[in-house]
Amino acid sequence: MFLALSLFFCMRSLRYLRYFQQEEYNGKRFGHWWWKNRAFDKRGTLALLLSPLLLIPIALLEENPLRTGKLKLRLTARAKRIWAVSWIWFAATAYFVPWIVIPQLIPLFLVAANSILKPYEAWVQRRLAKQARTTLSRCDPEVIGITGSFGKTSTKHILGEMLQTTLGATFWTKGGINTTMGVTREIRTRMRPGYQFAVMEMGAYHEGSIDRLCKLTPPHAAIITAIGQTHIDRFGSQEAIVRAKSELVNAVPAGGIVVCNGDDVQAREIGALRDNTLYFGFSDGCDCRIVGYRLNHFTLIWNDKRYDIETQMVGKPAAMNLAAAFSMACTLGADPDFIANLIPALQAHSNRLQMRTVGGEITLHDGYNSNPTGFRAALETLDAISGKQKVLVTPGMIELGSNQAKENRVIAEIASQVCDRVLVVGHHNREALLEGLSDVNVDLCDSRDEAFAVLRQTRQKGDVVLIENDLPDLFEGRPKF
Amino acid sequence: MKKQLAVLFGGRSIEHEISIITGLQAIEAIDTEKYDIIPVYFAPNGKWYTGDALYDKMFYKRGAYNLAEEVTLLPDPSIQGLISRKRNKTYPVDVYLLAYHGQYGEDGCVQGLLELANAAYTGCTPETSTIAMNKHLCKSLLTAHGIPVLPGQLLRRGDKLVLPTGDYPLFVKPNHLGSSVAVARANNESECKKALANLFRFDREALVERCIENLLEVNISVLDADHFSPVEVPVATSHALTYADKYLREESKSGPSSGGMASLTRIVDPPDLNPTIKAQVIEYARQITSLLDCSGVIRLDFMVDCDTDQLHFNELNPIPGSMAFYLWDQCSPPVVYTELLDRMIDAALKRRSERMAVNHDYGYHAL
Repeated sequence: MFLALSLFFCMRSLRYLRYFQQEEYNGKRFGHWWWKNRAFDKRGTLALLLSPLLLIPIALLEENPLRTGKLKLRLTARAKRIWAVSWIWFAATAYFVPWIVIPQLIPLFLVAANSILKPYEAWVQRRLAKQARTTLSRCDPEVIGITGSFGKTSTKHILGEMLQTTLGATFWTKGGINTTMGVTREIRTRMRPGYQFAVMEMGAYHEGSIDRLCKLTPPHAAIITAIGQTHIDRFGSQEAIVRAKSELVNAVPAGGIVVCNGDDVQAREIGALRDNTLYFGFSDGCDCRIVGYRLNHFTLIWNDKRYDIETQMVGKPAAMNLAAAFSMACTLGADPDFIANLIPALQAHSNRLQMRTVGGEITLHDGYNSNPTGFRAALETLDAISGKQKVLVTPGMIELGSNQAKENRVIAEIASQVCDRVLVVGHHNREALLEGLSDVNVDLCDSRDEAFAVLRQTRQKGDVVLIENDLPDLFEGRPKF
Repeated sequence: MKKQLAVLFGGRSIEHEISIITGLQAIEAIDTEKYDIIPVYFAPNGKWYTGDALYDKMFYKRGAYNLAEEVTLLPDPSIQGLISRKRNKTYPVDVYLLAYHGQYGEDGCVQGLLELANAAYTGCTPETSTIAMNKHLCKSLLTAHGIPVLPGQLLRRGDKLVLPTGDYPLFVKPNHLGSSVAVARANNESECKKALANLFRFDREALVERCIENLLEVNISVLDADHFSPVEVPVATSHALTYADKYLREESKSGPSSGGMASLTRIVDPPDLNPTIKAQVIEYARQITSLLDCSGVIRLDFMVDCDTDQLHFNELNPIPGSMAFYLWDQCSPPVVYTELLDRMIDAALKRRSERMAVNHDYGYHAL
């Protein structure tokens, strides 16, 4: 009987662990997820009421979190530790408490396990971070930190390629890794002597996170890509966001290069902390100014010279990222002509406003954590591409705190000007989006899979499709427990 | 008794995945009555792995290295095998089958290590491999021996982009890499600059040649410098074979577990090929493989300027994709892949003995 319960706990706890991992082991956010998705157990409790032996088939039928979903469960050392300790909680509780309650308590076991392990995890992280710091100082590359509400990852990849091709061996973190833990791991596994530059993406998850990253990889130079409204719900306010990102500029030694978004008022505030800041953007007065912008070519004016740029990366945000990287690379000593000729060869990092043409059909993939500015730019880009029908597939934007509904409504209004058809995915912004949409064909889809199926069936030749904000499946069709 | 055959593939190069295909294909064709196979994967992180996990394509896609066992090769002749890094265990190896393509694996680096370990390995020696993979050096050497080559200019990566001299259109290619990555035609200065900038992402040296407008490519494979396969004319969708043409054609996606060069569209032994050219190709192949002391299965690529009917040597691949088995298949009588590999392995063992047959210990006593 206990074996049946254990089997059930085994499978069910792994499923919950996957969502816990996605919420970065934050008990509060996991709890929030649990509540929003009404993730309390139904099947297990029912089985216990009827016959505990029913737990066995139920357990065997549970979906495998290692295989299912967009973000699968990764059995990292930490995940395994939490899971192991949760077993102890389970066993202890099962001894004292009537079993009928156990299925509901499973998420709690994970959270409790994580809490107990926190001191140990912190100790492990500190040790690893120390190793990483030592490795970094032995290798001693010139560190360029990049932060901003969006564009960090793209700019990092672009700058990395530019520096490596024109100046010297360059290290940069893979994908979108920008936390202390991720950067520590990257440095420990990949950093070797011989690298002249290191481009480090820095994510500001709360005040102090960039400070910590700067202690790990002290920057010699910095890029501020943009200050938007992303992640307001983590920071609490815009002011807090600005403060958090200025930590990077403050960490750059006097005389170090600071490159900053010149179009963004709040970014300029941060840039103003130094008097040698270089600005990039479309506006007057930018040191690296973008002019004559058309879908995938524009001109950069740098040091009174004009450089015609062709690129595979479409959209204004891409032009901004290129201008940012161009400014930093040239200030570090690269030849502007070389850089300008290199840009056409660089491709968009996956899922950041990437235009893919398959069999003549154009699709814009802008799948990564959307924000109002990026969404607007994506819609602008969609507008600029010629085609028959313009189709938008999106669940709306998330993590915008109290502004979320308003921003989604506003963007829906803008989308109505550009699009002929909109597929609204999921329920998270459904009302807000519907409020803003007018004069378009609307399809309401429960999940991402459903939306793509509908799209596949109804897509017509000549349609240009924008897939905006592909959210992790945390926000998709409700998981069933 | 069965021989222990380690099949090495992967590598820190652009052709990494092509190498995996060549390696796994070869493993499927090996005569398992004669050999016990030890698959060894050279991962992008530089480590070598072995184990049954290597037979699953998902292993490479997911980078699930914890499912495999890490091994290494030490430059110590007494070991005669691979050492496990975590456990106290040696895997004896009688002969190494190299299926690497590109940097580090095909250019003499791994070969050098194998020499230090006094191992028997298939393919060319370190010196031949290095020369073959450096197009400029190879062409400079061959032209001095009367083999016709297209004259080229070598441009090294520097602070600024330097334009080549010469009339456009020009053809720009990396000096070191194989498989047509970053190969481009430049019709004017602007295109040339962009082509060079892109090329310098992948190689520090660029080779610039004049463009042959009316181009015919002719390849031939040679086994142990004295057996010649039929010639082939690979068919490209564009002017010259690009990486996409060679490896990413739709055919190769739908084929069985293999793919790569084997599934490229080609015409083997075309009946309408000018017999003079064909004879020249075979004759030059003979001279080149003899001069460079080639061993194992190599593939020579030639270019014909159809406007002048002039044949030029283009490049030598010391480890061709899929070991060019699709060419040997078309011999009369056909040499099937299994037999081809057998002969490569025998040649490897024989060559190791030959290279051992010189005194290394006896020298001037300087101390």
